[in-house]
Amino acid sequence: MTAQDKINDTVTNNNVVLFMKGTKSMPQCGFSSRVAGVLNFMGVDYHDINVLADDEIRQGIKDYSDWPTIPQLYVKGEFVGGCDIITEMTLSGELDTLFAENGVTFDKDAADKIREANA
Amino acid sequence: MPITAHEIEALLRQSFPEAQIRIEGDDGAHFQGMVVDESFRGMNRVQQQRAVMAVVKPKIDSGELHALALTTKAPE
Repeated sequence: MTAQDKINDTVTNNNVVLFMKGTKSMPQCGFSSRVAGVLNFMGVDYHDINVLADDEIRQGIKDYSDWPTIPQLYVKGEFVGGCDIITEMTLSGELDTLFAENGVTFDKDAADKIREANA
Repeated sequence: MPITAHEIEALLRQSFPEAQIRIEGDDGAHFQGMVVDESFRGMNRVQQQRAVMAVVKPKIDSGELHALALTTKAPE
């Protein structure tokens, strides 16, 4: 199975997937940490893939999305964005809408708290 | 050869003539910016940023531009 097949299987079989440096409980990069922190705080059930543990996935995910940076968030198989995009979408409420439209459970009050803290 | 924020803005202006464009950064290689353009309406943020990055890609490939952190959106 190639790295591209593995990635495709992972994003197809899991509603929410974050490719990141480190793990959701121990991020090893500030940008990965920020996105994982948002998802953790919003209580989103997501699958984390540590790209530092697999060089083929680390390069493969950039080829898969044609996007040069990590972290990368996928919802229902679609690439949503990296750290900057996810941060903006969190603050604008677009991320709430995306999760709601895709049947992803999240804590709306927690999302509002993030927005209040960054208003 | 270093590149300036003004040069990046001028480059983007060719592809997005009506856009509101603001590019910041003064180290000659790493920049951040905002591009607001009507053509982005209906595109998600990944699509919007791909559209902008496609314009500057030759400068990235040539090594003149190392990074451009973007905020993109359609006008309110």
